[in-house]
Amino acid sequence: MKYETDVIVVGAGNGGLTAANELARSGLKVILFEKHNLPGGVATSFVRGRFEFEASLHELCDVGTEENPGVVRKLFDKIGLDVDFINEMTLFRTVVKGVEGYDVSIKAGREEFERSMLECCPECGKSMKKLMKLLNSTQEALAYNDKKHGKPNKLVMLMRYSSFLISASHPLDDVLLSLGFEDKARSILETYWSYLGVPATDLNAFHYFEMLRGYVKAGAGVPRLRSYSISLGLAENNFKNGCDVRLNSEVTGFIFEDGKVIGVRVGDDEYYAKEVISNIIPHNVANLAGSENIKEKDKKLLNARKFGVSFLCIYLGMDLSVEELGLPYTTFVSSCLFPGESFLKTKYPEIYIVNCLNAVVEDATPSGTSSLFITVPVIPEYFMEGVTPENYREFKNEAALRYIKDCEETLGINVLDHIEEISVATPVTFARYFAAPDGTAYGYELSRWDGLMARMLDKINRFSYDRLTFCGGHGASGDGYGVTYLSGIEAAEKVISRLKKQELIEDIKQTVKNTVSGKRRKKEEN
Amino acid sequence: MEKISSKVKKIKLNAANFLKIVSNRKKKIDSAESVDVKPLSGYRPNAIASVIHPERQFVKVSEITAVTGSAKLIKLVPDKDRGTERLAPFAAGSCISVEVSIDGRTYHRPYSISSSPLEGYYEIIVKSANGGIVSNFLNDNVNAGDGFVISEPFGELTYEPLRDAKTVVGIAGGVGITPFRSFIKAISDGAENFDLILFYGIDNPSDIVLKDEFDRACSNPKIRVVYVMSGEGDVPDGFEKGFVTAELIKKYAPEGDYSVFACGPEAMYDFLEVELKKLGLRKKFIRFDYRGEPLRPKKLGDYIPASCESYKITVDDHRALTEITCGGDETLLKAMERNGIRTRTKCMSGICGYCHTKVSEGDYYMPGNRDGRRAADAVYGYIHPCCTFPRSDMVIKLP
Repeated sequence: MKYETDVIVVGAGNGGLTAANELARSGLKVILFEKHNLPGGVATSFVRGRFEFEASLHELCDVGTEENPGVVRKLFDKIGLDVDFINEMTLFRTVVKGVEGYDVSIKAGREEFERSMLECCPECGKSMKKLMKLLNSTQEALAYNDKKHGKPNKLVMLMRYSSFLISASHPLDDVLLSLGFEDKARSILETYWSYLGVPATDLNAFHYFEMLRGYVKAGAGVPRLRSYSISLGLAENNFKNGCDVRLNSEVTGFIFEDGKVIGVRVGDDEYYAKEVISNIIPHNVANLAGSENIKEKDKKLLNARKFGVSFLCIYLGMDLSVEELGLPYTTFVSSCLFPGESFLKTKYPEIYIVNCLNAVVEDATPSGTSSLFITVPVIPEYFMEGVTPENYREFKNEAALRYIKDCEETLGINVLDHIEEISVATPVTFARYFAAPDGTAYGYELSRWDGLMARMLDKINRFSYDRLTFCGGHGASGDGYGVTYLSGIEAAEKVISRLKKQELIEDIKQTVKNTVSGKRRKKEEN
Repeated sequence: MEKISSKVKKIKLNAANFLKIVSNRKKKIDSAESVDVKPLSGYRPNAIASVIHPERQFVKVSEITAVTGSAKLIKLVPDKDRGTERLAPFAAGSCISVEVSIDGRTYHRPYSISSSPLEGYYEIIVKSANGGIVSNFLNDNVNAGDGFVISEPFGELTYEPLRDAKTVVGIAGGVGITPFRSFIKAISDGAENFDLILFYGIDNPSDIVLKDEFDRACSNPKIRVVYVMSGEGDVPDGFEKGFVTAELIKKYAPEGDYSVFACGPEAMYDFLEVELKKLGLRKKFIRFDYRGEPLRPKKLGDYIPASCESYKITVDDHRALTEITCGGDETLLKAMERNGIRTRTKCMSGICGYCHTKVSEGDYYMPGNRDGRRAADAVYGYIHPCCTFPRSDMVIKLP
């Protein structure tokens, strides 16, 4: 069968959901296709026994409080989505093993952040002042850039915002060195890199500062009912706005005409639209589109890019309370001060994050129990070497055991005797549910040449399918919950403005036609 | 990368680098090849995912053996002609959902896999049952060579070495023996490594399936089978009489920790809940298999009576609205099946969420012991129709 609509959105991940919502809100007819039976993509949860595990979210950056909302809360307010957030004002505890190691907790909030940094690194005062200034000037530079609609005066930028230009064009590690941070402070500040999947020596400093600002200034939030509640909330908004949400509906092809994307295939049906938005990664779109429909320069862009990291996730339902475990919400563990790229290029990277949801959402699990979530960034090429379908289960348990034991030793807790439920996700899990190539959880690697700043500045080397717009973690702004929600809105805004322009052109054409035919008629009448 | 010294080191950075960002990126992209990207199957995680989680599997019946007067062992092998080269690997204790078409209606029912993960085929044991449309069909109408579509293996009654004790006390009630046959075979051939003490509850000895096989398996010191006979009549030598009570478990269980795995009818689970409490086992050591569809909802502890004999259900499938009726003690899923509406279901026990569906209007009853929903599902009105009873007229929106 053939169907027609205004806009098709492919994939109901964070970006697809907000895109569809924005489009439907503007009065367009929208169909949102999702291959899975739930909306949300990685923003989901799952139940084992009496536990409901968060699948992927650690915390949403830049949520802020009701009185002092951050970007994410404002975004949800704007689209009329009520999410029950709990604020988390401890940024993290970070434990580095070894003789140079440390075990410190850093707080959110500008002053608290500075104070807790000074407490563990008394010598970093001067450098911290410089860092805070840099965070501010970055914000001012962005505001100036926005004011100039992305075309700032270069001289003004160089004179007034040179520190921004520096952070925007150097890796985080270099910038922190230039600010004079000694090793321990630098190591603590770099802790968050694993949230972006790019080691500090390759991570664009501006990108990191943007994230840090969101965590430090506004503060992070955790949804009381897991990220899945946000996904269902967005789906609900879509229903209300008249968007047709089709779950269990995998898009199996893109339909092209004269180089333009004019629709998609779902099973035996064809759906045509004026515009298509893809929440699915360009690599998969390329495979579905067929070689002949992809421009040479897009092929180059696809091949130039590397995928971002994937993860080993260990979900544990514990029959111990959070008090008995004695853990904060977030603990980073690493075996050295500066885990670099080579650190990930190994089977078992010695860096991971331990989250205990009950430290923020007290009643996330039944009384006397708690949930632990261990996240390890991995590169499948190394992590999954030698793994086959037959030994996969054994491999999963081996990997999980290794990190659980490390966790027990490093944090001095007893985990193994108290596991009531266990589930382990690997790159295979990401491949299974999201068809992510090589199980990437983070789209394309945001490293050096393809970092956030580079993607934002380079307006030319982007995927250039006519009438197809991308949103999601593989986009210019990179991965992360907040940015993917925003990416959907941005994609929708682009599409809406193009359609409006087109409508305007059609209108003018019609008017001209009417006038011409009117004149002709008059002539003929005469 | 320069080596970072342990001392504070100042380095100079250049703001002019900013001007090179775009040209650097362009250079990198220009130097890349303009070949097609490789298909998903070219990545190891994706290739493994497609083998262990196929969306569906095509199988053929290769053998049917009567194992009791009312139960048959059906052996399923990959149907290569329809594109299934190999069957997905599974952990002992898993099940598959079998799709069956009867009189133009499509049904899906879960069956535990009863063979070992190392055998390359799946065996299921199907017992004919009162009112069991699919079980009776599989018992009476299936011949060697028949083809079926089945799901990937799934389930939660699997042995997890990081969670479960080294010894499992298995409790099988009647045809609930099926996953335990898989465990026994898996321990025998080394696919699983734990000690199993299995209580096999039966009415009378003629209910026992594959006794020779179990007796042979018991030569392995890791396996012990204790027959527990509850029916009237003489109790054969070595059999226990009655039900699997706390006392009986104590008699056979080892010192220290052990896990209890149970599979059987609802009444057995209810009975065990009381008995296991007496043993003071931690929750982590108790695993019940899927409870299956709630056949006698009135007997459930939290039962909410229906005020009408049947209700009007409007089913929205994105294209049209279909009105059907659903009995007060009939699940929405069964009503849809009965009316020829294509449904998706796997566990039939309210747990796996495969049939996840939105309620637009109306009240319903989901038994607490079969409510595997996420917290937000209740907030936004989602149900698992396989275990949901209407309590008013309803409008539901298929995914």
